[in-house]
Amino acid sequence: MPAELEADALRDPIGRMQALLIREGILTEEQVNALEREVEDEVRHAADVALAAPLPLVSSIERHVYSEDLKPTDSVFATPLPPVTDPAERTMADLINHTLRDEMRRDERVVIFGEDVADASRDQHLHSGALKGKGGVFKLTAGLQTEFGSDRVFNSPLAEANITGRAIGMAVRGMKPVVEIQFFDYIWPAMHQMRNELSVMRWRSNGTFSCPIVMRVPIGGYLTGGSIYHSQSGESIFTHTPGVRVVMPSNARDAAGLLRTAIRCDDPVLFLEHKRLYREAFGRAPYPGPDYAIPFGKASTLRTGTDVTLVTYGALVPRALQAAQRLEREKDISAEIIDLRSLSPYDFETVAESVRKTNRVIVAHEDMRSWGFGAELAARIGEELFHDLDAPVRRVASMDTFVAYQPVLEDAILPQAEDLFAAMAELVAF
Amino acid sequence: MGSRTAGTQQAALRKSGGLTPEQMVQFYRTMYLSRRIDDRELLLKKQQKIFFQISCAGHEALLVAAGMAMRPGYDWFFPYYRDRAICLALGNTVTDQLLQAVGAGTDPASGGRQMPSHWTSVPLNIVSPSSSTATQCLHAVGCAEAGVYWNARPQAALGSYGAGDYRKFKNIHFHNDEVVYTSIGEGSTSQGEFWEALNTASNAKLPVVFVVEDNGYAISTPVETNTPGGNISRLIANFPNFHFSEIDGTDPEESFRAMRDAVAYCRARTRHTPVLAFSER
Ligand SMILES: Cc1ncc(C[n+]2csc(CCOP(=O)(O)OP(=O)(O)O)c2C)c(N)n1
Repeated sequence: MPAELEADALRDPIGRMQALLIREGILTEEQVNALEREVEDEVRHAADVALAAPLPLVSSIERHVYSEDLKPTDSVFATPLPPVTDPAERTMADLINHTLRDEMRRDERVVIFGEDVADASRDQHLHSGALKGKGGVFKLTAGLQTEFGSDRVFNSPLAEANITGRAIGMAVRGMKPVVEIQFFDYIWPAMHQMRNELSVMRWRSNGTFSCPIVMRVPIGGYLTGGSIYHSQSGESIFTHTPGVRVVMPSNARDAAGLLRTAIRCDDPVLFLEHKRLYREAFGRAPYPGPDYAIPFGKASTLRTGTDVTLVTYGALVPRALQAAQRLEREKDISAEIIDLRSLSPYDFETVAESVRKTNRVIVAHEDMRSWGFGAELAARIGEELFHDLDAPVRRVASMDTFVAYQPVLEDAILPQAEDLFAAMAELVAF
Repeated sequence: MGSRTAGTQQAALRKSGGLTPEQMVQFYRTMYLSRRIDDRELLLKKQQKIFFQISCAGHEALLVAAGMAMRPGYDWFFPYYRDRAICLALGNTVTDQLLQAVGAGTDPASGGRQMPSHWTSVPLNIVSPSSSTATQCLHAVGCAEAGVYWNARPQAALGSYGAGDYRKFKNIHFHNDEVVYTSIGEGSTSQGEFWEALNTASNAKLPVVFVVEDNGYAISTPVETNTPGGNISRLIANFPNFHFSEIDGTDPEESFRAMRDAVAYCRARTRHTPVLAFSER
């Protein structure tokens, strides 16, 4: 090792160049010395300046976690529902596709890429119709490449970090990538880029760089046979990362309104689309027009009640409504159902108001019970609403395992409407 | 300046890749400045006035060469933490760098949030980095794609926007011959994200200069543990559309000639992506 270090010294580029300058007669030794003294002074002076510089203020810590200029919670995103022109009831998948199309028409900075999102990878097939393209494995981006061109909608390599990292590089330059991760189960290769880059670009540069991309991700189970690698939840891992907004609509109209806000706002957004809700009869809605937006951080109370509050989101929303109807019918219990819609930020005000009225609350989600989104919500309710509670805060969630393939197991692992029914009945009887 | 004949001047100019004697002096000054900042930081670290130090020592020649071959505020830069000297060559000042080292509120790179050597400058187009190895390679690719996109659709960058539109807060600029620089240590080329970046750069023939700085070690792990055969150049050789060179990164003139050529390839839109492996061994 010492020999290696010695060899290194002989190859020191500074020594080499100094010798070169003198050898070539570009500088004399005296001139080199003068230059070096000048540099030394410059460095010493700069060190003095730096050491005397003011320290950052503790009060500034939270600045630039998100955009200081444009908040997705702003009322500018609370547009009224326009009169319905086409009453056809559309699925969530339909309205997401519609919204992407609207926003791409409106804003040429929007590009879409991901695995299999293009109508056809090869241009010659795009218009010939010879090869029917994919437009996304769930068809959510169908027709977009055909309308907007192959430089705006294109397939990525099969590499999730590639998708995310490139989108960050584009967004730094002012583009608006709306990328798709094919399944939430495969978001993990992108995790490094999401956690260490996407979320913190703005904060770490003290607000001088930002990368407000949208990541659309199909998530969740209840697919009957989705198994371990096509049923995952895991939203709390991302709500546990500052700097990224996380939303998860339960119905078609919310999906359109929240996706529009996601694209128009200036923060990175993880847009979670429940696969099971894509084409459900539940939650269909007419097309709400090209400017309908919903601000983040506003829950939606889907059913008012007086005996118990159930706070949930995603695929548990229809299951909760079903359970609430049965409770009313069979037990004369009146349950209030709150759909959070937006998980980071989330609407604690609406939850608190409801708990002050019902004095009983359940937090329910499809993700695993331990360390899930409900743990934080339950803890906060305990901290801030203790005196309003007549019963302990309860959680309903999936088992702390993976989701199995065999439907008998899947049904037992994931929370069902019956579980919500039983939990609410029990809590009211407490 | 010493006196030289016209003939030797011509030869010297060729050897230096076109650097004039004045530029050679500037080159040396920037290298030396970088080294003295490292020395000063080591001292400040010992005095517990700064809390971390990352040295550029040994890498100065190739990095100043890169900085002098490229255009600050015009080209785009995704350097890694080793790259003090290129940032100085681009126009970062000593004060800028030391303000970050002490964690000053007035640190222009991060306001005291990032460690030293996390180069960031809006006017110079040096994009804020993390400490993670290899993630920057994909950002550089996306940045180059953005340049291609803006040049193809310049109207998309225009317009004035009201409240409720992120575009109101974006300042977009681009040039049709801009080039993107990214660099990485040889150990970090083991990361998948490095290869993912090469894939897309090669496929899309993007104007990105990839610089692999091979100093033989990743902390304590020697190159052969990371790189089969111990030489990244050979592994990359079969990528299509790459212009490739392997250089002695301690030789300022050789480094400059290589950087100048690599940047020229990109600027001329020959649609070839240069990958340069610099050895400091
Ligand atoms: C993803 C990741 N893993 C581990 C580290 C810790 N780490 C910092 S530097 C380093 C070695 C890097 O070596 P190399 O790429 O050869 O660059 P060098 O520092 O030698 O210039 C490691 C392992 C890190 N910063 N990022």
